[in-house]
Amino acid sequence: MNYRSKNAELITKTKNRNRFKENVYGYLFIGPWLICFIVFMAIPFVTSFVLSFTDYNMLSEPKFIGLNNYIELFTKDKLFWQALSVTFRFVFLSVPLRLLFALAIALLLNRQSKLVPLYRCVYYLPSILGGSVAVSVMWKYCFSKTGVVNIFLNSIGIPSDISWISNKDTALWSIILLFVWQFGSSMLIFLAGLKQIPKNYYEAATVDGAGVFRQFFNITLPLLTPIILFNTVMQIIGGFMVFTQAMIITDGGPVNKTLVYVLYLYQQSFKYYKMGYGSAMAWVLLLIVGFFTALIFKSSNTWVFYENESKKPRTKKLKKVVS
Amino acid sequence: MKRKIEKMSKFLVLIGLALIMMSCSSENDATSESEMTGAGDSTESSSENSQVEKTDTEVRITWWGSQARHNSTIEALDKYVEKNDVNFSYEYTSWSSYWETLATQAVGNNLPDIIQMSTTDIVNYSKNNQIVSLQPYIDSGIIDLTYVDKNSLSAGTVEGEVTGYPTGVNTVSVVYNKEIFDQAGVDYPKDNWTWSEYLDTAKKIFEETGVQTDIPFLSEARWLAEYVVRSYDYDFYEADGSFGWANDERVLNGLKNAFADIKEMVELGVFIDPEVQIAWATTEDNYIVQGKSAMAFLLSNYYETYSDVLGAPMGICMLPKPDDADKSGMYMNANMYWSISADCEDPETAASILNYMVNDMEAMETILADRGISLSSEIREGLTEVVGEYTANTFDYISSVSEIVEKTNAPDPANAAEAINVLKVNYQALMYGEMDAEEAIDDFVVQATDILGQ
Repeated sequence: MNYRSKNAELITKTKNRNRFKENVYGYLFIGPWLICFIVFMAIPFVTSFVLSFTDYNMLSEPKFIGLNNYIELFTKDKLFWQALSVTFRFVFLSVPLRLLFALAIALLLNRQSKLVPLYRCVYYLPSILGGSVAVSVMWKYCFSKTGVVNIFLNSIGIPSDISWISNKDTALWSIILLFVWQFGSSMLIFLAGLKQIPKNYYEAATVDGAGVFRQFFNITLPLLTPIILFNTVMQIIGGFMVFTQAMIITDGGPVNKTLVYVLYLYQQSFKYYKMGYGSAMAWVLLLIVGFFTALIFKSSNTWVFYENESKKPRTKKLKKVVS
Repeated sequence: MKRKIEKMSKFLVLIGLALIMMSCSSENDATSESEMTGAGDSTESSSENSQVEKTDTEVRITWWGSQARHNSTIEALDKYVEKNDVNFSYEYTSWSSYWETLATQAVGNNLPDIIQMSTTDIVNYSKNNQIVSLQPYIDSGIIDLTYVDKNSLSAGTVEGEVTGYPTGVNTVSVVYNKEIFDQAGVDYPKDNWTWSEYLDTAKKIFEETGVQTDIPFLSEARWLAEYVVRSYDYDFYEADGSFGWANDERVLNGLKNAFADIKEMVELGVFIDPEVQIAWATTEDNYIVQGKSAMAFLLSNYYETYSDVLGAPMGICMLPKPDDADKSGMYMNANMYWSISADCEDPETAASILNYMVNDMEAMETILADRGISLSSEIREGLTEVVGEYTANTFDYISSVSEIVEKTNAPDPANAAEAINVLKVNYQALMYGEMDAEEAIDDFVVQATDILGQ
């Protein structure tokens, strides 16, 4: 008995040691990423949560004030609602537009042609440049009173004298346009999704006499819905976090018409030395984005079509018949 | 042998992955540090080391400004390096990213040794002990006050301690294009002109020549508001940081009338369209330097740069007095300060450098009046002989203003930045037609009182 249990012990010990050895290598491989994640994401995540309950002006120690930041945010801060309204307008205008363009261009590029890789590159270029400072500065000058846009419009006969970035009605649109212009990444994902649709569906539809539009709405679109879901969620998250463009092109102006949420957060934290308040704003944003993401996922049950799922009901029916 | 190769390849993959991780750029929408410092109209930020490697200790000095200021400051500091055993590390940026960078450094207890400080932030930094009192260095003589009026240091005094040495004084002014005035056949404005005369002048010039006038201080309404408030014999901030004038109907009406008048001029087309004026980012964008504007309200230290770009000396005079006001509301501010941070390990060396930057003739000949008119009478006299016409004009103007102003303003109270922003936004909203003058002022008073009371 003793001998057997001791043997068993030895076996488990060796097993554990081997497993440990394998795990070490695994951890070493993900080590760099893990360190980055902990230092740049996990720790700031927790710190920001703690700071949101404090009054912290960065020049002295944080003071705990409980829920005051949140209360002030919702009851006394007028600019909070302005920032939210601007951000909502921005997201719900720019994301659909961006996806529309991405899909349209992806459809055009979904064919065998020698020039297609070139076009793919060209259309993807803007989104590589990303939300960078250089692009935003250039955009600001393009849309100014004497910028390229006005010159172009005047040359084709549309008299245009407005300063797009300082007119209170068009200022937000200049930022929306910049966001939409960078549709490249969504476009590539749509392209990948388009290529996954089996060609025989289209052939069958053509044989049955379906036209181009029919084929698009009844074959392409339904089969693309998982990709659309993915893109929508990702773009909405990105849209809520827009910052660089708003700061450089208009700095929240004119008259706070382009004061997007993250820009206001930045102003509160850095310009007015209210880091605790800014942290509270960040967590509110997290809740808002989380809410919309959950909403989209919930609704996805009704409009997203997964090919492999459709097979399940059939087998169930068969089983019933058999038994 | 096989096992060895396996082990080696595992290691190589590991190292390769680590390298890829490190060189991998951050996500699309994250803003990197370099983007922060790159924002803004002016120029790049930089961390440069001076070329003369003498000692190990490095004095870190930071300031904001345009490229012209960076050049002149570095030139002045390089001259210091030639005569003294110090190394500098220059950390300069544009205004728009200066405070965020500084705050981040403060959190890490990593502030540069010598900091250029502003009137809006000095109270915050002083009260939180991020900058030290300069009194010990004044007492020991390292900072030389022989030619300086001690009262002028009040501008840099917070809670009884001098924590910022004012680099110079600054005031508000109206600059005008003499050629346009000549063309319109209008007399040049005098220092004691009134608000109605100002409006009439603008209208007459517009009728005669079609040239418009700038909206007064569209980018920072505070300078105008403070002038109006002071002309009714009030300070802008009381000692406790509140608005003493907010309860006086006369003052409130004076402000509302002034704002309403400006809005009317915008509607008449005499003043420039706010959409156009708000988009100006660099000096060259301003209409006054292009000859497209007759008059502009300007901080006095910009006079020389603007005249330079215009190519001709602009006229300069005091702001027009509101018709029913008691006195001239002119005021003088400290332009900015030099402070020594709490993280400085060798404050005595820093204090000597500070003294050099404000009292040394050679340094001031390089920097001239870029940081304001020097507090030292010796420097002022010495510079009048060497400066160009534009700077001399600024000197004269400041002298005439200092004759009617009793003392330089104390720095703004803490939280002032947020309150002033409300005024700026409301003023711009007024010009865009979103608010009327009554609302703009009333709303500002309510919000600012709330913010300042926090």
